[in-house]
Amino acid sequence: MGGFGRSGSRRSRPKLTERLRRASRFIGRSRHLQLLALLAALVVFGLQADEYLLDIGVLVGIYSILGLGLSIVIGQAGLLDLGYIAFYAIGAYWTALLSTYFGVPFWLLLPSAAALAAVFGVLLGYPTLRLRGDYLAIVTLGFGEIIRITLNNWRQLTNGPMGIMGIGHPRLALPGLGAFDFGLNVQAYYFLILVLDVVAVFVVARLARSRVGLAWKAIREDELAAGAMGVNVRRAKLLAFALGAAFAGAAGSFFAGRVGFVSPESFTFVESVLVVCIVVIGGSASIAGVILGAVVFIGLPELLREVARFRMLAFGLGMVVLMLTRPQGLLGQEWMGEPEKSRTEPEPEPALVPDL
Amino acid sequence: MRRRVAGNLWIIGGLLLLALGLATGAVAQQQKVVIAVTSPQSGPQAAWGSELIRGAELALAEYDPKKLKFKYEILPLDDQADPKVGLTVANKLKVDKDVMGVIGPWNSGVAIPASPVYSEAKLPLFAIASDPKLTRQGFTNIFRTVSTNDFQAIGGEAYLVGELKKKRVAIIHDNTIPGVTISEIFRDMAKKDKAEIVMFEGVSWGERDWSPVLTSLKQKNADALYLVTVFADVALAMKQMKDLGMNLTVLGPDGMYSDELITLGGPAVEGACATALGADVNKLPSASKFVSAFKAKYNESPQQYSVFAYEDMHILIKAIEKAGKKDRAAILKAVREVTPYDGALGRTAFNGRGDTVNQVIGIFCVKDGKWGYLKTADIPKDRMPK
Amino acid sequence: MEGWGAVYLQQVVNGLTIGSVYALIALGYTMVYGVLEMINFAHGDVFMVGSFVGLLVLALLAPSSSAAAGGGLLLVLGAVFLGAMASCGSLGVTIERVAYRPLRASSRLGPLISALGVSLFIQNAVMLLVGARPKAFPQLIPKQLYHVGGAVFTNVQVIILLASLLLMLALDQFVRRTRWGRAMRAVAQDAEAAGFMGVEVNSVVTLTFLLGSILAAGAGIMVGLYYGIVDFFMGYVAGLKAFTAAVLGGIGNLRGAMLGGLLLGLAESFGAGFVGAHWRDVIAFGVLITVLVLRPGGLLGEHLPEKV
Repeated sequence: MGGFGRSGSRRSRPKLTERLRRASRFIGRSRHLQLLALLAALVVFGLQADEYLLDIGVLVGIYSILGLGLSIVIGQAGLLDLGYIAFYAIGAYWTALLSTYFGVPFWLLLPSAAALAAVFGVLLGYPTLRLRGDYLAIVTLGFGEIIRITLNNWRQLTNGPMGIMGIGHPRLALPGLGAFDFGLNVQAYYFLILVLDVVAVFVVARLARSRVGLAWKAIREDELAAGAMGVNVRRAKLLAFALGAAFAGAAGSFFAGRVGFVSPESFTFVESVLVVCIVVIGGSASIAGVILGAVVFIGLPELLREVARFRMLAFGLGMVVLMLTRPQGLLGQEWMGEPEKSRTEPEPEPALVPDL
Repeated sequence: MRRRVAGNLWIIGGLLLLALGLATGAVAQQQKVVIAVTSPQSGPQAAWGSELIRGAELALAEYDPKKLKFKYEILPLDDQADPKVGLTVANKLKVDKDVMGVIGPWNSGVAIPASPVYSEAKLPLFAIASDPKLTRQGFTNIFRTVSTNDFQAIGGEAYLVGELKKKRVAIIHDNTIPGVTISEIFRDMAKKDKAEIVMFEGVSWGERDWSPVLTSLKQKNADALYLVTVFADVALAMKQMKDLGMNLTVLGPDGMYSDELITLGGPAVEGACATALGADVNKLPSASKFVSAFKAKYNESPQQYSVFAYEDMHILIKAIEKAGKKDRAAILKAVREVTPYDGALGRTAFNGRGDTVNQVIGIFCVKDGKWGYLKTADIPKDRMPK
Repeated sequence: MEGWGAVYLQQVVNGLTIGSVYALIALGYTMVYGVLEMINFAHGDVFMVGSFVGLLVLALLAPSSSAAAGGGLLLVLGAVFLGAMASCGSLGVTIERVAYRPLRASSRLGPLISALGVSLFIQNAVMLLVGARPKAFPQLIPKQLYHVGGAVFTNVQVIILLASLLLMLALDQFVRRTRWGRAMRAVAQDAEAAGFMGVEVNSVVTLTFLLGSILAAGAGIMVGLYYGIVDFFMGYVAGLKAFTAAVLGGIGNLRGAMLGGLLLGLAESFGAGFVGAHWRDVIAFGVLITVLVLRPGGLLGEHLPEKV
């Protein structure tokens, strides 16, 4: 910038801040403009940042999609799913297998991975419809582990712990310019995931305001009453599972295409917990909250690298403090998930009552 | 009040600037060079990943900083054994202009997807991961002082089936990449040599309760057990074998070759044997120097993988000093120039792919509560990994 | 080994040993769930801390413990159990006071996340304090092997089984017979109503965490004695399995947790022995899912219709 620039900026400072203030006031007035400004900032970031920051951006993007998908299940329908990462694994392995065995292009695999995961979502959802609360949590946890261990053990199909190498990266055929292979180009992935995230945000926002969104809300608040009011509880729950799973399937497919390698190590229970944390800490049913949660949970550990040894310690402490200070999540207004009043509802569990 | 705060801020700011100036002035004579160590440093595999940092630290401590051209720093980076974090780490190191070399990753599942990024960055990568595929991708920046999985298996089989003439062999592994690959190569070789594989089982990584699988092993009348996992699990398995009244010849790859096996397993691991790189490591003066320095600094005996990081750090420092400039391509070239290198592992030289040619597999056994060198494995010429 | 009968018997021994450890830890999960309806994910780590405190006590007693024989051995063992139980008890109570109580009025997810945070914190704190490497747990009790009907078991296994049963029996009687036990049951049924009736809900919750943590500490020592190796990550797997056991038996139900623990141990042993060791956890979770689909309340939990 040099001397000139410095003195110049000093002279125009009041004017500039005033202009900025005016601009921000203008933007602040309209939600759409706010979003556009945010999008513009993300595009500028994508053009300017180095590969390390972009890589973190890509990860935040992946986890935002996972978080948004799970927020349908947890935040909107109030079903606690602790095995969500299984759908991510299904999407990733579907992509890996079809790409390496049959050379199917990425752009076909992305939507089909989402569809396949949705089918699995229904398969998991159907037998567990009767389960509630924490029983559902442990069953989904078990389902996630079963999928991971099966991927690890099924040596002939999945190559076991060694994973699948050489998955085709996305390629774009540009008219007149020939084919563009994403390869290792982090920037290209950043913009692809940005587009996918925009789509995901749009879908979730629309869902929340749709009929089925209202049905989910009704079930979350009181399943009994919702059923009595004519809400098809079974169908609404299955739809939540299917849609949530579809998001994860798409994210998994993107992950496989970006990394070019999948192995069972990427789909542990810890990953499921991570996504739950992103959703809850952000504020279960708030879209902005979920994305903020992804930024915090993926970005913060990277920032904390400087304190390497104490990183995970600080992280655990941070989770507790955050919950104590903002139990509804960073951006959650009302509490989502299982409603408070479930306490006063007739107790299902006989608890410690001895039964002879 | 406000003014005073502002005034103080000016003073503090000025002092900070001054300090910064002094600091940069002091460093100016010696440029900073960073060697990154990437491995799992938290979570269930931290015990193995953290060893690499210690090995690298020990090597660096052996130099007089004033006599070096650069000011070396070790940067530990926790990849959590997670492929996606490994990729982020690779991109971080790629853009960090002070990083001139990398030790790790420890997991093949992390190293393989990250290796194209390291290759593009022209960063010398001294991998600890042992999957043979890693160096068969055509990259020129990967070096390995550790032996590869195929070599461990072939050496172990040559000893157990070839020399000891065991006919009924059971194989149990820990369902990890080395666990499965070593076991499978061993199985194929053993079958060629007409040994019967009476059991081939995987146990989850970190499993503590080995008794169910050992109970079915007891039924199989095996005369030897090839046990492919790390020392803590071997100690657990052999203790439980003893509790079940079992007595079998046990051999495993280098993951169990550690004094910690004896600390944890006690009398139960007496007689266990392991294949490990090199002839008699204990007889090399450089190796004993490493072992005693490790014990002095960390108050425990080194575990199997720290010595490789130690060796890698030495080679890296020598290469960077030889290159004399912070230029990754020049350093890559210099690695080839400073090897063969005589160090704690004996003579290390790299083949075209970057794997060590120090392919002497020694058989080490626990005798009277101590690891002892038995002999080198006689590997038939036609089975040497190409 | 003589024939298949012996193999079955051996797998029963294996399963009961690991199952009784699961059961002890599961009791902590189930008690907390019964009273607060929350999954205390940090419970497995309290168990791990129990092992390490035991190790610490042993190290402090080192000169005497090596020479310990006969009566000395019992004293050392007593000190180890007491030390671990006292510290884990206070740890459990502290965790509840600091990390869960302020969240009691909020949602069900808040305490869950808080518990996960506590778990991460304890794990890493222990890793930083004692190192990541597995540590040897001294074998205090000289091992003896018994051969019965082709199966082999050790005196340590017998001690673990008996001690677990004793602890469980004591807890069962405590909850059923004492005033405090009655208070616990009252809070579990309806905290609000119990409060109106003069039960000090907070004290009951504290007591619940105290008892659960004490049992976990006991399990920690026993696992140390049995396997001879402890590490900072051991609470994770054990906690997950114990939680599974608690749900299997019907979470909130004490006898269910005991039954669930033993059954899970047996299912795992037989599964790992006859189907394949690498399918062990799939079998464990498969059993759980099957049971829950057939009986949504768990084995001993009340079978509840979908709606009232």
